[in-house]
This record gives sequence, C-alpha cells and structure tokens, in this order.
Amino acid sequence: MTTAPLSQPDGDADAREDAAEAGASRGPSESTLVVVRAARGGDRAALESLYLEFGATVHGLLLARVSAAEADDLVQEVFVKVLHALPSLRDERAFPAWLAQLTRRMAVDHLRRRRPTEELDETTAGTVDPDGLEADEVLAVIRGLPEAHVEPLMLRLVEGLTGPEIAERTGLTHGSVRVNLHRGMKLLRERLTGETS
Amino acid sequence: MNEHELQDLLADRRFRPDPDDLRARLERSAPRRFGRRLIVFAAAAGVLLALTATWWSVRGGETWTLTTLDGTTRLEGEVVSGRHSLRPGQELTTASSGSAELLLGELGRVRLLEETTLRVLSAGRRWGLALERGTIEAVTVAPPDVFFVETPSGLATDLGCAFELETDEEGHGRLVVSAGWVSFEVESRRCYVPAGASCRLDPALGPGTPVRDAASPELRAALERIDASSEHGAELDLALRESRTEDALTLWHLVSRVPVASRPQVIERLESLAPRPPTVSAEAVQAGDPDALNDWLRSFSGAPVR
Repeated sequence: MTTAPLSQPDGDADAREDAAEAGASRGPSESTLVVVRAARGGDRAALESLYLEFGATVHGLLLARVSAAEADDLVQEVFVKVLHALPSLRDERAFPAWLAQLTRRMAVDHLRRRRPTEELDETTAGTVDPDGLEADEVLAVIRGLPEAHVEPLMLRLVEGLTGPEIAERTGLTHGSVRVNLHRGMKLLRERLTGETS
Repeated sequence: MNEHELQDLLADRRFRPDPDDLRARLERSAPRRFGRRLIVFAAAAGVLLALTATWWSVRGGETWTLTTLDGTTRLEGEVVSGRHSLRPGQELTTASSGSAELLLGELGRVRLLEETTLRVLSAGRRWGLALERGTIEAVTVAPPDVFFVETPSGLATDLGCAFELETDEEGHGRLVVSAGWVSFEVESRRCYVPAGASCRLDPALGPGTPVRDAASPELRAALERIDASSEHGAELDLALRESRTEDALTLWHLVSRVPVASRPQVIERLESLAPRPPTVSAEAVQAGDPDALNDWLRSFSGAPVR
C-alpha cells in the first residue's frame, strides 16, 4: 500500500466548483427533464440516455455500500427498476434525488438478501492484479469512514464528479457536500497514512 | 498521494456503461402475461403516434435554444452567455475549455464540447446542424430522420439515439453511438451504426465500416486496412475469420464494400452468423440489391433502415 502523504483537495478543483455552484443549484437541466419525461412514458431510448447520464452517480452510491463487482451488476438492476418505478415519480425535477434514494434502498435490500456469512471483502472479489487489490483496499478504507463522508468521496474519487454535481445528483446541499468532502479527504489521508492530526 | 493520484488509482473501479446488458435485462423484465392488453395498448399507441405525426407535420416556428455552460461561447462572433434562441444560418463557437448546450425543442439536447464550431441549418420539422469542427454529444428522443448533422465528410442522421460526433475541418473524425442508431452517408456510401459501435469518418473514403467497441483488435485493424485500400485479399480473410455473431452488422456493410469477386465469401460468412431470411433471394444479395440487403439487415439487427 502506498503511504505517500495525501494532499488536501486541490485549489483548482475548488475554484471550478465555485464557478459551477450557481448552475448546480438550479436542479436538472431542461434537456434532462425532457428525457425523464420520455422515460416516464416508457421510452427505452430515453431510459438509456438517463443511464448514460446518471449511471456514474448510481454506481458511486452503490460502491458506498457494496463491492465493486456487486455495484457493476446492481447498477443495471437499478435502471431496470427505474423504468418500472418512474411512472410513480410526481415531480420530474426531483428525479436525481429520487434516483439516489431508489439506489440506496436497492443497495440495502441487496445487503439484506446477502447470506449472513458473506462479508464485504474487496480483497476476495476475484481480483488478482496487485494494483487492483490496492484500489479495493482504498475503497474498503473509504467505506470505513463515517457515513456522511462515504458517498461524496466515492462520487468524487471513483466517478470523478465535482462537488456541485454530487449535490445536484444526491439531493444534498452543496455546503454539506463541500464540508463532507473536505473532512472526508482529511480522514482518508489519516487512515491511509496512519497519521492523526 | 493527492486527490488526482487517488482518482487515477481508483479509475478501474469507475462506472463503465454497458447499454447492451441493460437492454437485455429490460427485455427479460418485460411483463409477458397480458398479451391482449398489450395488443390494445399497442393499437392505442399507434393511433397516438399517427396523431403526433400529423401534428408534427403541421407545426412550425420552433427554434434551437442555446444555453452557455463553461468558458467562452461566441454566437456570430459575439461573446454570449445565458440562454438564446437561434435562427437558421447562425454560427456558434466554443473556445478551449468552453462548452454549451442546444435544445431541440423538447426532443433532446446537443452538447458542444470545447473548440467546436457549428451552424444552425433548420428547426421544426427537421432539426439540422452543420458541424464544421470539434465534438458534439447528442441525446434525443426524436423520431428517426428528424435530427441530422452535416459534417465536412458526410451527413449523420439521428435514428433515435445518443451519440458523439467528432470532426476536424477536413472531415476526419469519428462517430460513436451509445444508444439507438445513427446513419452516416456521403454520396453513394451509407452506414448504419448501432449502440456500442463506432465508425471512422474520412473525407476521401467516406464513413468507415462500423465496428463494435468489443470487436477483437485484429478485426478492427483488418477493417481499417480494408477501408483504406482496394486490395482486400488477406485482410478480408482475417476479418471474416475474426468476426463473431455480434459482428454480423460489420459483415453486412462489407457485402457492398468489397469488390464483386469477393462478395460471395462475405455473404457465406454472414449467412453463417445471421441466416438470410427465406424472403431475401441469394441472387439479389449477390447483385448488391439495396432492398434485399436492407431486408436482411432488418431481420437480424432491427436496424431502422429506410
């Protein structure tokens, strides 16, 4: 495991987020709403568009709770569920938060179904590549952090979303995401390096 | 280890879209018990579709709506921000690190990535853009043939889908389709690109033979050489050998692209991967008859060919 010091979130990224913050607070774009409307009517091409746009978010939220292999499978099941459940969504503008909540619920259901003896152990997920093991170790460490930090860190570090994008797609406030990312990075650095401040 | 290094380390765990798998799961999840209800629903949907088409044919006055996103966007050379309605003929350019979004009424969106220049051609019954250089990402729910993009190397026509189109000023580029279908044509050469496939664009050669993202490297390399040369011999043998059932669409394109003398061996291999329907005659296919070839394509791929 690499033990080089971790940096704070970089200033450039923060600057980009500041610039994007105003836009993110407006909720889903009109074009996204168009696609949500079509998917709600059963249009599968529209559902695929949503899958391409929101798949990374769903995957990141799943990774916060289940192994990488399970997340790859569950993300598909979430979008199958979306097609059938979307007609129940009353306000299209609530789609991102609704999708996040649906994803969390399906992850929890999956964990309940898992046999009691099955532990979430990334190092036994079938990966043999040493580099892969290292990545899974980091994922396991992130999952061990306080709950509030886990989703933002997965979405940022694995899926590459900005703070405003995380806020828009999870229903959290931007301030909350910013604080949780900052504190989460600090805690992650401490856990990975064995340092405490 | 900083944030970017962590992101690099975790890049392998990032979401990788697999629309084919999603489609298969959706198919499996479709209810099968209510056959009569489905027939009634399909009939009602058909009536609705007809009404929509009628409404579609008579309406007008719609415009493209521009929303600037990041960086600098110029409309007719003037820096703009916020939302604007666009008229046919107006030119839009994004600077480096710039991006903008265009709405086709309520039918979808087109995102302009950095250093992209395009011109609005039409709106309403048919929504058209001329992409001069750069990259666009389009997601639409428009009926087939309603949205199209002219490029220096040919015409891309949306058949209900999501795709990315990239070109330079000369017309070299690439079309990548992530949902649905896109056709690309120049003069007599046309190709159909489905989700999970792509084709190269070349101003001299026209659209390259479409190939699946998951095709073997050997097949991809052979196709590039076939597209670039009139000498096919060994490359064609290799392409036929490397083709799997999922590559039937690639072979279908080769039927009309290889010299007539090579056509029988392509047809033979295609028949082994995607049997020719009884209604499609071997003679017509061998003669390169477009209707026969299109019927064969529809039979195994569901392509919305015209």
